[in-house]
Formats: sequence, C-alpha cells, structure tokens
Amino acid sequence: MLQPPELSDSWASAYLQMLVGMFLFSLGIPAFIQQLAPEDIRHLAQKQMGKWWLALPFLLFAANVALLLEFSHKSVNPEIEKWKEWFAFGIIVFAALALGAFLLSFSKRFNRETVIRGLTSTLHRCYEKTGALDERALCDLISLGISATGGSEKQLVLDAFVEIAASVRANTRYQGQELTKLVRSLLEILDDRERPGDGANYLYGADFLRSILRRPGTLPDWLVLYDDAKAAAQTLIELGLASIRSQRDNRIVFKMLDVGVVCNSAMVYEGGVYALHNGRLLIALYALSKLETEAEKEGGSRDLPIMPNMGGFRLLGLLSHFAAPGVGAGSRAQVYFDRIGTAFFPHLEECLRAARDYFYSRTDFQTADNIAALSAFLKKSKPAPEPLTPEPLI
Amino acid sequence: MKIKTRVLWIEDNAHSDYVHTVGPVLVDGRYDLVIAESASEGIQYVTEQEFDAVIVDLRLPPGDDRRWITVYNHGGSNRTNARLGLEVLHALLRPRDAKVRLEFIPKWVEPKRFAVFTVEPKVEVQSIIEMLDVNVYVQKTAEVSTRVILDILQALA
Repeated sequence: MLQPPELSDSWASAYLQMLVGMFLFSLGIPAFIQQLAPEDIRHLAQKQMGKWWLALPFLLFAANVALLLEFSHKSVNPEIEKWKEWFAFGIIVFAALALGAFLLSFSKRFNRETVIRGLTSTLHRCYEKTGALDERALCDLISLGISATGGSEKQLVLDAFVEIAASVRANTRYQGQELTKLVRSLLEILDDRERPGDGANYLYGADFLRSILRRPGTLPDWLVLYDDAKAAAQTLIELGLASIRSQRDNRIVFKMLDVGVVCNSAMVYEGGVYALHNGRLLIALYALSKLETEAEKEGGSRDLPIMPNMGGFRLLGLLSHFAAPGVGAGSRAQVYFDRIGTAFFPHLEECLRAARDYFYSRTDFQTADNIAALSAFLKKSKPAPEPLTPEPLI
Repeated sequence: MKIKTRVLWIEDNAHSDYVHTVGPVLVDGRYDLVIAESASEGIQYVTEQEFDAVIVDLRLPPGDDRRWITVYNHGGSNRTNARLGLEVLHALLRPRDAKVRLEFIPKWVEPKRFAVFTVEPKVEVQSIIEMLDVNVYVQKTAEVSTRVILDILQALA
C-alpha cells in the first residue's frame, strides 16, 4: 500500500527544498513567458492581470512552508502522527499541482486570443452597465488590431468587432452612435503601413461595415441621421480605395466592389475613379459595369430606367472620367452612350445637367467639369432627343 | 427596359487570366459579370440572385459548404477527379440524381441558361452534359480566344 515517506529531518528539509524550488520556478517561468510574448500582448496582458500573479506564488509558498513547519516537522512537533505525514506529503503534491495550474493559466493569459476575449468582455460589461463602450478597453482593442499582423491575428480583432457590434446593436439602449469609433478604426487596422490586412481581412471588414449599414431595430432614417451609419458609409469608401491601393489581387477588389454596390454605391464610384486614374483599368471597368447595372436596377422595369438620381449621377460621373481627355478610355464611354443613350429619363441631356450640378454642389469640380465637357461632346456628335412629357398624375 | 445581361461565371481560376478573359466582357459593356470561385459560392449566388447566363467550370473547389466538401472528399479531394462543376449542374438541373440536394432551386434555373467552359475534353463529359440538356460547351485550350466568354454568351443568347 502507498505510504508517505516518514517525516524525518532529511525528508522534511527535502520537502522544504522542493517548495523553494517550486517557488523559484513560479517566479522565473512567468518572467520567461512574458519575454516570449509579443510586446503589444505583454503590455495588455500585464494590465489585465494586475499584480495578483506576483502575490499568488508568495502567498502559496508562505502558507505551505508554515503548514509544513507548524504541523509536520518532527523538530517542532516530535510526536508526529501518521496523518500529519500524509498532510506534509499532500502539501508538496498540492504545491506541485498548484504550480502547474498557475503556469498554465499564466501562459494562457499571454495569448492574443485571451487578451482580446478579456477586452471584449470588458466592453460588453461596460455597455450593459453604462450604455457606453469602455474607452480604454476599446483603445486597447484597436491598438491590438493595428499591431497585429495581417491574416489570422487581425481576424481575431475583427471577430471581436463583429461580436461587440452585434450585441450593442441588439441592445434596446442603442442610440446609433456608440460604435462610431470602433467603425472608424477599421481603416487604421487594415490599412496600416507596416502591418496591412490581407485580402480576407479586407473582405471581412467590408462585410462588417455592410452589417452596420443595415438598419438596426426601429431607428428611422438610419443612413442619414446616425453617426454609426455615416461612419460605416465613409469607412467603406476609404476601405475600398485602400484595397485598390494595397491589394494587387483583382479578385479581392472585385469582391470589395460587390459589397459596396449593395450597400454604398459611393464606394464603387470613388473606387472606379481612383482605379481609372491609377492605372487599375480592369477595376475601373468593373466599377463602371456595377454602376451601370445599379442605375438600371434603380429604374426598375421602366422604359427609361436611368434616372436623374444618385445612382444615375454616379454612373454619369464615372463615365465622364472615362471620357476625359488623356485617360484614353473614352471609347468605353462612347460604347455606353451609343447603346444606352436613349435610356435616360427624361433624356440624357437633362440627366447630365443634373449630374453636373450634383457634383458641383459637392465640390467635386473635376467631375462636374468632366460632365460638362462630356455633355458638350455628345451635343456636338448627336442632336439631343426630344424630351419626354411626363405622364399626367391621376 | 433591361439593359444588361446578368452573367454568373463559376470558375476558380478566372483571376489568373483576368485581363484576357474578364477584360473583354467588361469592355463590351453589355454584361454584368459576377464571378464565383467555388461550388458553394456559385450555388449561393444562384439561389440569391437571378442570372441570364451561368457559365460553369467542371473543376471547382468546394468552398465552405460542408455538403460540397463531403462530395469533394469522396471524389478524391482533387478538382480533376471530383468534377464538382458537374455536381453543381446536377444539383440545379437534375436534382433527383444530385449528390447535393438543395433546399431551394429558383424558377429561372433552366438548362438553356447554362454553359460549360472547362479543360475537360468534350468526349469525357458529353453524355452527362447532354443528359442535363446543356447545349453550350467550350473547351479551354491554350489557343482559346480572349473573346471566349463573349462567344459563349452569344451562343447562349
């Protein structure tokens, strides 16, 4: 049968030595683990843990030694009973197990996922309690996102964003402005010069913004009145431009534009213009194709589907850049007007005038001038068709 | 008035030759082209949106849908052997024989809107394609024209 070693002086001092050894381990190994952790994680993990990790080994060590000496050592208590030998043995086993558990838990705390989970739950808790996101935790999460390398590390932060946004938006206290900072930080995280996001990060980020642009619950005029929606729309445009700048893989940019076209065609327009003037012609063509389809869709089944509205303006704006002198893509614009020039309501000339005014009022003078030039060119090449008389309203 | 023809191209390698294959379609301006890169993504597009034409490659990766991953693995985890494109066509056009049963097949899905564009020689797949009533088949070769997608769309029209 298993027996604990008799608690002789030599065994007792061996026990004590073991405890000291374990104590030193419990101080040394965590220091080593910390050295191995990336700097951003080390700093945040230390902040999350506080000083307890330093106090715990000391406390455990002191308690174990005191128990060992007080109850189990023959020189202190010569009439030692059998159960006390078991007790002393138990102390050593417990100390070894506690050291193992401590080191395991300690090393887990220096894991990126754990740190992010900690910040996420702080943000959840704070929102539940106060109706606002904890500013410091949010800044920490954002800085972790910026310093993370593209791919799975950035993905962890993006996942946290999605989780936080979903729970905040589902909360009845949501005012439509609590996520603005989080949303705006997405560009910093993905378009960081030293550690940019990869293609999958960009697409995930764009999908996240699309989810923000969906109206939550009962808030009316979501896209116009609320900061979070406005921030998401603006960030999506900037993210689209950043993807054209940084992603050489056309697939990624195409998919970004696909996301843009269903929730914010301004991104497709801006992306198309940027791509056209920066030699990414295929992307510019793709953006134009998407705007053409979108403008057509907005008109529904009308005989003249291209309307003088936002979709029509953006389409004409991009076409005017294609047709601008020096760009060398005028034939693509010409192809469009030759085939579709009669599909504008009430007619092309009127749509061009309205589009020019639209861009002029938005201080996009370059596009306004391009549209004016395009209008003049088209007038010269073809007489404008007769305007349609709108059907009388019944 | 419908201006643009909506086209879905299910092809995982489209990106490798974007300028030559996709470029002419975008320049032409008559088509709204959407590219899906896996069986899962292709099926997702088909079930969510309406297309006037669907061009399918026969060698496709499964994507993230478990059902397609299973079929792919049973086919040897190899695009050439698994021929997921054929399974996609089966699932949409002949569901009773399909290995993947879709919950919903849109009404617009009909053989005359589908074309096959693949490296597989026609003799190897002819009987299956005929059984599915897909009439437009083009083999990918090194000499294929840059206008090949436009030609396929013309043939479907």
